[in-house]
Amino acid sequence: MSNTAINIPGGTIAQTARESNLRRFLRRTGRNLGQFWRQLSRNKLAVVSLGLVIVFALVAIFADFLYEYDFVTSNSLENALLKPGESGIVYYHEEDIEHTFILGSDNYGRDILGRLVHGARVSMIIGFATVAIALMVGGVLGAFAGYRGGLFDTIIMRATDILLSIPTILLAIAIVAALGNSFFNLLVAISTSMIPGYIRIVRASIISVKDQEFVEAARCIGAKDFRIVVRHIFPNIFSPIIVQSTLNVGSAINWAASLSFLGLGILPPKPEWGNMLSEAREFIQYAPHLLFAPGITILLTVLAYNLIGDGLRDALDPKLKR
Amino acid sequence: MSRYLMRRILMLVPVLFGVTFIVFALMYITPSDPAQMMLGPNASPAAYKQMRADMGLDKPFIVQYLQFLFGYKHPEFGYKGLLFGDLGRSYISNRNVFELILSSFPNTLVLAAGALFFALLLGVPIGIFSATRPYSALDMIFTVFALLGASMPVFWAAMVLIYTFANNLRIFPAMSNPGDVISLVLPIVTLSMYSMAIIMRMTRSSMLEVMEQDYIRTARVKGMDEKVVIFKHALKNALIPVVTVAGLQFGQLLGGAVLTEKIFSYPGLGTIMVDAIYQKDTPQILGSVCFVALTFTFMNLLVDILYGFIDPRIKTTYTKKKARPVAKRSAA
Repeated sequence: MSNTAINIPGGTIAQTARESNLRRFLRRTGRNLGQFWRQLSRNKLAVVSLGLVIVFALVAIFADFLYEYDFVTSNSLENALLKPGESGIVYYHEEDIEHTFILGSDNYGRDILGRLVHGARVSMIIGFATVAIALMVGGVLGAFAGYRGGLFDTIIMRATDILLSIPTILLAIAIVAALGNSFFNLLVAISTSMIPGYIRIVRASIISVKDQEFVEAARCIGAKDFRIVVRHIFPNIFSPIIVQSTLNVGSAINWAASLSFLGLGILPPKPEWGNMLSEAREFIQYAPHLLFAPGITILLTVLAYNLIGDGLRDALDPKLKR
Repeated sequence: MSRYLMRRILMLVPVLFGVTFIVFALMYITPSDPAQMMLGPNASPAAYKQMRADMGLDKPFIVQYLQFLFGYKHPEFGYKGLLFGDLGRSYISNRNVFELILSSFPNTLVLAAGALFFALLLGVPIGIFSATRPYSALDMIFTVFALLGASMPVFWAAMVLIYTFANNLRIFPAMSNPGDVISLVLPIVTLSMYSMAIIMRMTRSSMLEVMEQDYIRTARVKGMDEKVVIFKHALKNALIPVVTVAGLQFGQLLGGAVLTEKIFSYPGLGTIMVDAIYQKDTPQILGSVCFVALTFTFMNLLVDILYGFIDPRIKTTYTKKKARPVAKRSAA
């Protein structure tokens, strides 16, 4: 909003006003964040989960420092199916090195922990990228549909009905099958299955606030539609979206693993949690660690996102403020 | 009520066409080439061209889509079209696709119905129990179980069950088939986990909400037995959202059985679908995906209608005209 009322040469008063606005904004944001953190930290499970997610994210970011990518994708058959904690001689970088397999090795003699670490990178990227894509596309479409209404709204809502009437996992499978196996297509498939959900949430939230007085007030002082939606409406519908997004990151990781398990996502030898389990299928009888290590990793990750989502829902719900 | 029904059914028509259109478009952009598949890699260009013409693949997209809906006339590759329940023969097994789907659908139905039954059987009582003793130790334990059930990847749960009960304890077989009840236990348990978690949480939160209501307090003040209050007064109202969720879950189970069926080598619709995807068997993919999507849509419609019967408040919003706001506030 432009401060045209006071127009002194040099603009000192306007500048001071703007600065104090900024300071007030920062102070308020700080206070809100503090309050938000106090609400969230009451939920111990959510805090623990947040810690877990941060650790996983760090592991994913620094995966190359923990295990080299070539190391976790190259076979060394003499070390196949080692139990957790056993060590073996690995021929790597043209020399034999002693290596301890902390979580054992798989049927090709590859380090399970190393593969989990690099799989974390894939899962994190998929989790965040799909949610970001779905949020952007679904958010914009939903905001338009809800704010403008009319024919556009009808078309978008019918399209959403259509996409929602195909079971989510099936839609993702069909898209990957049609576009072919690749990392990018997996992203497209998972985010497309999420978009209808976002359209519905954003549209419903916008409709619930768009007729309220503060929006009318903003329109009266001449704010443009774009500004009204971004500055006045979005802050008010922020919480359901952030909760849904957190839960969706968990589901995306789960779906990516499921698709890769079916051989419709990331294929071996690239390390991914789902395809690790798919490869382990025949060996679980002799090497149960092949089954439990990736499975528990997926379970913990998805569980952590679900718990954070629940925690956020409680922390952001004004009805529950204590 | 009949107006509401008509409205819902009419709204279904564009959705169904949209579903078939999306699935068909997805198969159309698939890089696989059915004509090449039928002839093998060593076919001459002329024979390949002839085959494409015979299969109707040289036509434009929209013509092919209409053929897919209304039928395609050809002595060898002709079919009556999706609207008449005929999509021709599978490229791989040469069986009639719809016959194959109809013969495997009951298997999936058994699995999904079993899973939903099991989920309700455990989910609702545990939910009620948790709601009557909120935040007790047992409630916490059940909550943790529900969260685990909702977060666990289905295929991993199946593998753990196979490892424990089939490989080590040897109680249940790792492969299952519809004729053998014992072999159905593991897939049903696997499939029901997620739904059970959802139903349990839903029952608990809905019960908790109802228990706060004034009429529950009135019933208690009247000196009614707590059992009567819970099961007669509270449960009736608390079950409304649970029924909806259960219905929606049933639709999801029909479609989501893919992974479970694949792991237990169960001859259901999901296995047919995934096998067809692996083999790029276009008619079979189209048939099975459309079939599941249509069943799913009908299930959702059924749930909506049932919801109208159970909860009279919903019905009135559709049958009566909504009260209009006094002044239309949003200027276009």
